[in-house]
Amino acid sequence: MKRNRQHLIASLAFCVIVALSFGASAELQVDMKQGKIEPLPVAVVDFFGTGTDAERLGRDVASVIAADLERSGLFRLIDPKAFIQERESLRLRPEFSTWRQINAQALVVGTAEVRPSGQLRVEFRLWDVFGGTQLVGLRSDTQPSNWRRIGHIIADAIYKRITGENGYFDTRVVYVAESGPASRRIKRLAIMDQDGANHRYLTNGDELVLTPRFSPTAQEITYLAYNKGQPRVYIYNIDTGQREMLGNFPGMTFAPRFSPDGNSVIMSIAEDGNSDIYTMDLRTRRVNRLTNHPSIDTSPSYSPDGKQVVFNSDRGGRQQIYVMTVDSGAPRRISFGKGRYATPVWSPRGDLIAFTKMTNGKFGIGVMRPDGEGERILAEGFLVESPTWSPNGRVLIFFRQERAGKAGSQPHLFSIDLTGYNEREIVTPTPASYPAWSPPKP
Amino acid sequence: MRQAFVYSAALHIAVIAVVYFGVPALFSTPPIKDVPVTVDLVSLEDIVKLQRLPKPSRPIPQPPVKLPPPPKLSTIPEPPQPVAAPEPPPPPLVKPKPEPKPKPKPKPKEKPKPKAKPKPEVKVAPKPSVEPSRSVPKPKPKPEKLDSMQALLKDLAKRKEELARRQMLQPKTDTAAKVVAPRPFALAAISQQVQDQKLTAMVKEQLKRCWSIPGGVVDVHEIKVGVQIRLNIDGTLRGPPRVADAARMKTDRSFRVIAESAVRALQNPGCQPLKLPYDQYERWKDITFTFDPGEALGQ
Repeated sequence: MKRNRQHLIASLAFCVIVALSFGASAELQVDMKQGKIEPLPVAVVDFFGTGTDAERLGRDVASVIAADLERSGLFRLIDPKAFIQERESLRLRPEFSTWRQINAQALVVGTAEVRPSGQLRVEFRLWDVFGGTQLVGLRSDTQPSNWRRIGHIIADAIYKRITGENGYFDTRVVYVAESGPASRRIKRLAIMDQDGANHRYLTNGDELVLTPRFSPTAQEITYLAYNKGQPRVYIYNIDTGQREMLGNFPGMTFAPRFSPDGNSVIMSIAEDGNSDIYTMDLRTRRVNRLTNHPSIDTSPSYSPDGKQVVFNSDRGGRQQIYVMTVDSGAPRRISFGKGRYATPVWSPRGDLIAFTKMTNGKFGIGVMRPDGEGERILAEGFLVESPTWSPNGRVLIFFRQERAGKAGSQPHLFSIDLTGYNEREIVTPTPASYPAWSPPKP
Repeated sequence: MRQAFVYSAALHIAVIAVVYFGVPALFSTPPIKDVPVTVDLVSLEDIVKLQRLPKPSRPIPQPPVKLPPPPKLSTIPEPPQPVAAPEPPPPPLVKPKPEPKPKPKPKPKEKPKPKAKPKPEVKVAPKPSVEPSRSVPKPKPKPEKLDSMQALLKDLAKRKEELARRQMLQPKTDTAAKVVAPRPFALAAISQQVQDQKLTAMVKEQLKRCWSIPGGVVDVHEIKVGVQIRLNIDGTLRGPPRVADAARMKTDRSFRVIAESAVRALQNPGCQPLKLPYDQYERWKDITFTFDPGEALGQ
């Protein structure tokens, strides 16, 4: 009995010591599991320039940067009217206290200078206002006509430094520009910067074009056009303006897309009413059949490593998404939701597959993981279709069309990020459909 | 009368004939002859694809646009810091004024302490004395139970000393600040835990509105960032926040982005100074944070 009591007392004392040692020695530990998801407040100051041209170019470059950052949805621009520090004094070093006063967390400043050689020199610095440190600083000498591109490149550098992801501002979008009445619709290939600037047409509308897609080098486009009544796949070189037909098959060829290495094109070929997935080596022109099934297999898209292909097929009775390995793997169905799935596109990041979903008479643009899990619909509408990924796999462009008869029943391009909250229209001169986002410009 | 009847009958017959046989087709088109038509059977997909009549293809009229050569970028270093007045020293560490205590009640006169009883000497069991009863009785030896308790208390005291010594040896701790209230140990530890929970909740509540979690970071659910801060008694930062795994900042872009967002949150003027109770300054003067964006984003 006595011994038991001793043990009890000893145990109690031990517990006290343990509790004491835990409580007394450790620092205060705080696990932060709550924050807010809102854009980062950033101040973009017009770049300082000496001389009229430099002043104008500096202002223009800054406006391109500001527009890019704002449109991404990850940055909130602070109204320049609130700026306290003079632009000229920013050439040396910002007075951070004045920027803290207006709640800026990042500050973009720069200079523009037209050199005696006629070259434009642009310098910029991104400052961490709270820490008072330079996050990135870059200089570029280029032709003055490149001012828009310099702005996009600087915006990419800022985006990359703040978010850790590569930017997508120095890119282009090719799409099908539509005009004319429904009975005599004219569809032309058009290309523009991702913000809608530098717009131009690539074809003159004599032929119907569909589903353009960029090559990994961003210099070539593959698309479908009707040649003598037959849909054919073409490759168009943006630099030279030349195009060539890809193979001459007895049946239709459609839904083309480049492989990640740019050496081959994957597409659908329909023969005798049966459509399957094929690849064509662009150097040897050798054709390789990937699927062989009496159903309609179409809309193929490679994974970024080129080892897998996602496509849609009605082999299960209804249009669904399937994934298969290129090396003769059996297709594996990954979509199991209600409705039909189409136009799957593998993200350049590899983590998601975007698709068009048709259910209950509505269309939706969604994403799911390559194993089919985590399906999310990002945008819905009467007709939303044809998603295309930004090069960093964070934003999608698609086209949206409202019900016929309503005002604005023409198709137009929209972008949406993966949060599903930041949907923006990309303004085009004409109604637009079938967009394709380029890789970063070379 | 008869004539009228004849006319009427004839007209009626004519009307009936017209109704029965119809109006003669004066300009009728020749009857359609059955002509065989050749039809191509196409799939539904073909019809969909071919609903727009293609026009003969022509060479593309757009001349290729020659773009200027792409601009090349070079890094520019951070401008030198201007020679400025040295940073003001951190606010002096002034201990908070003790809360006004109620006036001490007049203490009752202390009773004279009884003289300490001599410790029972451990001796060989004395022989039973045979002295007469008037002799002063010797203090009774304490029971064995008290002996073990005393030993335990000694152990506790030793343990406490050892703990204090360890704390002294720890480089990060401020030895002057670590004062453990002389309370019963268990109570002290429990109340400290409760206080810590309250302090943690206060810090979280203030900081959550200043932590902007960057969106779209790759593998964000695998990232947890430890950041240490040291605070002045007024709740301001005594120095810049220190990221625990600073080396990873150079190699892991996602980690760096989250770590920088955490540092920004701690430096955000909107959350400076932290409002925490002065009298517990010793507990919150050093805080170690773990920023968990995956949990915050629900991933």
